[in-house]
Amino acid sequence: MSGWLDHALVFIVVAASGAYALYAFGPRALRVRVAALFGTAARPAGRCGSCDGCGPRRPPRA
Amino acid sequence: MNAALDQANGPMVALVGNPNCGKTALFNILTGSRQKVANYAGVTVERKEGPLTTPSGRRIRILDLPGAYSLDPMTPDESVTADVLLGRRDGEARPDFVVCVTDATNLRQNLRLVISVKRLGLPMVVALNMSDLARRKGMSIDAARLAQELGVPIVETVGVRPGGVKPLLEFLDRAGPAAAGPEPAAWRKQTPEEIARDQREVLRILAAAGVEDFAGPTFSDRIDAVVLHPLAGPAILAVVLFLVFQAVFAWAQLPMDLIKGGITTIGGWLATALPASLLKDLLINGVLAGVGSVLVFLPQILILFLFILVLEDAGYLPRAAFLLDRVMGSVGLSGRAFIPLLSSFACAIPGIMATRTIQSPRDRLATIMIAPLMTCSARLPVYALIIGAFIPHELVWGGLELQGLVLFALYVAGVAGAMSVAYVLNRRGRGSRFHALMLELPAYHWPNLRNLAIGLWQRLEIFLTRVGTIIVSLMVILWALSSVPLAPAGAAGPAIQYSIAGRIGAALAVVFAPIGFNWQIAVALVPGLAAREVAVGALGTVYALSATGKDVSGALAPLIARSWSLPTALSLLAWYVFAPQCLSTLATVKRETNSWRYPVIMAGYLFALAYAASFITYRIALAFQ
Repeated sequence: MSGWLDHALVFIVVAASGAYALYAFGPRALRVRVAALFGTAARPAGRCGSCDGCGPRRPPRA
Repeated sequence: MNAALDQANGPMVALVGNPNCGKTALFNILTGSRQKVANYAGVTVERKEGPLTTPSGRRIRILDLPGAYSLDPMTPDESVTADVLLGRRDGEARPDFVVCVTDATNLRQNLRLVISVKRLGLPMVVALNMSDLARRKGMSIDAARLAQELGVPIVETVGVRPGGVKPLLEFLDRAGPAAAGPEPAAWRKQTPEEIARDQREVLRILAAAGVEDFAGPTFSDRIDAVVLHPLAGPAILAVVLFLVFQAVFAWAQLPMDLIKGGITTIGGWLATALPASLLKDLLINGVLAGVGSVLVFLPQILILFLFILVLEDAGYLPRAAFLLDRVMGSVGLSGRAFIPLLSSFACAIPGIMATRTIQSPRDRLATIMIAPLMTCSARLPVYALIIGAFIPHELVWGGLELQGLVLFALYVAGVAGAMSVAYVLNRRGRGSRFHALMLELPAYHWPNLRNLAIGLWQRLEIFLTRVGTIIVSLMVILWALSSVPLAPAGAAGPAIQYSIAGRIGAALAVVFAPIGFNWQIAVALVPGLAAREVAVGALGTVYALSATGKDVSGALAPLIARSWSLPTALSLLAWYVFAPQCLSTLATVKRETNSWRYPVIMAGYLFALAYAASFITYRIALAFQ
């Protein structure tokens, strides 16, 4: 694998991970904007993803 | 949501009824949802909505509401139901139709709510749920006569069987809701005399319909004679919990070894298949070492949840609440705090939300503040890693797993910590008003295999989603922070020591040195703030990068066993009993209390407690070493 391809792939993976972490743990306003971008509803704030289904399994209604 | 869109999705049908009469089970079957159901009251604390298309193609929105005994709410979750039915909820129209779900085996209690709802004037039908159970108990209910006496139509349902909702579906198709129902009647709070009159009316209706009150001890009563016995009851509870923790270690070994073997194989394959590159380092030392370290603990989490689900579905958990009520009361906690605290063993977030069933705001706040001290499933990988590395795999005291014993002790430590904090909060609050525990004890039944399978599947799904999203992304970031800047030429130690993460770890190590944590632990605690089990993955990544090219993806435990002293390991265990290493929990506390004050207080007191506990543990362990 050439050096630049190696660096580019690693950069993409790290940047995508950083963006996801920012989305998951960033402010709710950011989640709402991102959700709007993809045409879906944002997760309710505080939903951890490790609960027993306490929150709606479908996106909540606006 | 605007009215036009609501109209397009069909009329709204609300499921209303007493707690634990099977509303959510009906909701799940009608809408194909997988909301949590359990054999005790107070599982649903929020409104939940799902779509239903009837056999003839009608579109209906089904609304599952928290259980309520009356329309005069005493707890926050009952308020949700009353507010929706009375049209007092902002931005939400009253339902067009009500399905009043009743427990057919306990109509004497359930019908009073039916009478109250009927008084609202909304179109409705009564679902005689658990009608199979009533028949099995020898109760004969003349549904037609009951409908005549109540003045509302009745359908028989069995919420735990897919075919059991057919009569309700046919009714909704035939005579169900119109898109715009009539304007309902006004509601006013009932006087005690009116409530007593309603109760007399219930008895009259039941007598007229030939429904006999079941007399004599039931099968559940006979079990309860032993299970709730003042001496035998607590002993049985202790044995049950103890066996659960024994099983977590005894049964999980084989599947854990298989997962470990699989990860090592993938690591080996990647090592040979990929040329030496940054990407290879990222995949092996970042992703695989981190994710693999967490994934290994999946069998233990599933075994723990299998037991909790079985106990929950069989109806044992409210009995445990009853047995522990005296202990809880002695530290000033409401008996109703038991279910939220029990939910917190899975995750503090549903536990904190379940505090909505607590009547007194002060008791509710006290329960919220101690919920994170219950040992959530995210702590299990951390505990299992350290116990596996430092506690010998041997039998003591005539066949008990020593590792299971230590795990049990850690769970007990969390509960003891919670009770102590509750006691202090109660003393500071000069004692809260005593609220007697009034909790329905449901009939025992064999756990429903479908419920167990759904529960375990959801747990698996949640865990794998977390591993595949949050943990992977944080491991990649940690790998990046641990890899740049590169080590200077001729550097003696591993490159990670010269990286950003290494420097952060070195700075934090000064703070954590008095409690025996090294810089690798300090680094792992930072991403571990996002979620507790991330710390295990982080340790995997940090040690993989610290080791000189050796693959540690499948072997973190022996590595830390060589690197840490026993006092350090015990100190880290003590840290995890108390530390609020979960941002989502703090966010939920903020949402539930509507203030930043309580999450800040919670984080402050829990970190202080964690540091103090680790310090004491470390120093004592050092003294005995």
